[in-house]
Amino acid sequence: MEIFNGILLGFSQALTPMALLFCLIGCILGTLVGVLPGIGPSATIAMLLPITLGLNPLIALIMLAGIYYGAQYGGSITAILVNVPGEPSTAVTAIDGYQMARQGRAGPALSISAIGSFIAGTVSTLVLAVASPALSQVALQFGAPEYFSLTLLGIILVVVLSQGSLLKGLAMAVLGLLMGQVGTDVFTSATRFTFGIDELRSGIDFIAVSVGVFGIAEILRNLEAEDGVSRAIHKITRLMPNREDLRRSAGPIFRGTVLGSLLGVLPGGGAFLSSFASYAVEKRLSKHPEEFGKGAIEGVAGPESANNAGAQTSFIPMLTLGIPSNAVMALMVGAMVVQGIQPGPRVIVSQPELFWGLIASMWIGNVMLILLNLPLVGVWVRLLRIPYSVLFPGILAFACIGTFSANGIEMNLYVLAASGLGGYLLTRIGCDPAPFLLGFVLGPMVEEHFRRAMLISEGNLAVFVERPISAALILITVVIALLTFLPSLLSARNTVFAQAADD
Amino acid sequence: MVWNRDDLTAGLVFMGIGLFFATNILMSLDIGTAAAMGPGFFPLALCIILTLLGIGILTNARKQVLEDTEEVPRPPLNLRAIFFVVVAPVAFGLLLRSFGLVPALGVTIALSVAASRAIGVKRGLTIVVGMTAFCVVVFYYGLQVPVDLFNPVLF
Repeated sequence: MEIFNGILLGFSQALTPMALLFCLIGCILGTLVGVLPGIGPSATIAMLLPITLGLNPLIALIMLAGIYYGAQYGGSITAILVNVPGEPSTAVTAIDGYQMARQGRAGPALSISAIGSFIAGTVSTLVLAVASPALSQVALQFGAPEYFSLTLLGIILVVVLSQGSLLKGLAMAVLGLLMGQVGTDVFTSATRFTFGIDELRSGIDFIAVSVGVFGIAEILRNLEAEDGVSRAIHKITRLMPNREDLRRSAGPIFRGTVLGSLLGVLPGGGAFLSSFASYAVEKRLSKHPEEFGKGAIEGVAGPESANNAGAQTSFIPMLTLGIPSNAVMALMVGAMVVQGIQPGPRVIVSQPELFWGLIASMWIGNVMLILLNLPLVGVWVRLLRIPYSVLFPGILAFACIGTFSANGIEMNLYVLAASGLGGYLLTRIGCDPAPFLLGFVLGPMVEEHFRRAMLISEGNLAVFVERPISAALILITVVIALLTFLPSLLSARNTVFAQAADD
Repeated sequence: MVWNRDDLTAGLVFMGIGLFFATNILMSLDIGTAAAMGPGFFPLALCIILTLLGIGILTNARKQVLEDTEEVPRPPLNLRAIFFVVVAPVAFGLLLRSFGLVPALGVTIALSVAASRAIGVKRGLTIVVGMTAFCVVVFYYGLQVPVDLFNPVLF
């Protein structure tokens, strides 16, 4: 009943003209950046953070969330029509979706992916509404030691589940934590690592760093392979799927929704992992696995449902624990903090209109997106013809003025340039920026919990294993760390990723 | 023995950062004890972990040679793009207050246009003028960012 009341409250918040307008803006922007291969939701959300400062917190979150799940819809358009994933999470969709397009079946592929995304988005938002209040009740019992252990687990999971070398991922997370220490120490008000620069006393600006490591670094990556060539885009003849398509897609959509909802909750999960897992599952369950890679509609329906479900449920740890499970959620935590809201289990209780309003907006957003995507697909396809060389000067200008306008400090523009260059160079040597940003956001929090825990225990590290919940979390962390560092499993993990990439 | 160059670089970078910050902490910050931590305690712990991870990555760099590692071919560094894209935000920061929003935007966008060889002069000019106008409309008139369009002292 409580959930029902909550949902009612949510719709009363999300159906105001302002909320609807910004939900629509978020969904349109999300689809747009999803369609365009050169720019993703992380960079977009980072660049729009300063603009949201002037909005009320709910409206800001509604718009930013819309960008994330909207990008999952948009990314599939590019994957199917051009064989280039608009978003990493749509990489597997390109495998069978593009083959369908080559056979003249682009229309059914697009509509099945939109329908699957819609069903998955609607169901997983319900999961979010039911699971979050329960989880936050548990989380309210947590003290400093539990929080510290939980954050540790979160960071380890993100590193383990992200692609690339584990050691480098961990190092990036620790580097992020360290950069999060720059500024004034809250306990003693001593300044750390400011190197005489006054602007750094309040810490390195979150917006400048995230726009740098995502926005600027992304531009540099895209300019490596300069292509002025326009892409070959397949025509859409008939949009609607036939009965056979629908029959074959029902199972994959259902399984994709369940799988995505589960994997989305895991730190490091979310849209990307869900779509890969779903593709593997569908291929294994299929009666005719030989069709995969040659235009099997199951290979579009499953992953597309899964990535959207995963995108929605990855909000759960962020909203209930205040712990972001991926880079986009780290940006959402940043957005809440700059709005003066401390993310954590208390948000649902102390600001129910914010929590439920955001959830209700996701249903509204999914309805908007299916309307935006199916009838208007032609408009988005036309955008694919814009060459990147026209887009990126605009993106760069937006990044600069956006970063500056957040608080009017020129220093942040130099931080922007430096973190863009640093982020790009680190990516070149195989270091993923996502764990870095996660560490950077969590840095101050991790230190605070650690120091509080040490104050309680008078400096005894055993406090983390003496309290049952904390001990369980530490145990899980250690087990996961050990399992992944065992060489046999390490190679198995690489094969899984290699297989997914080869298929 | 051949080393994996990426791992070698990454390991050295992380070790370097760890040691640099650790030195900084030891010289200027109070570390304290576990029961009464000073501002340097937690960052120093991070520095030690980071340095150890750096060493770990270095060790890996040697091991990987034994198995045959297929080097992923990747495009070389586009130094021209890197230079112009990194200089653009710096120029924006330097010009904004002394010259105003319009000149700062113009120079920034011109610099970024210069980063790509794919843009011709004519198209580049169109982008500079068009994007500057667009940004002025969005940020100055729309979002009312408090800066002057042109610095009144100079213009």
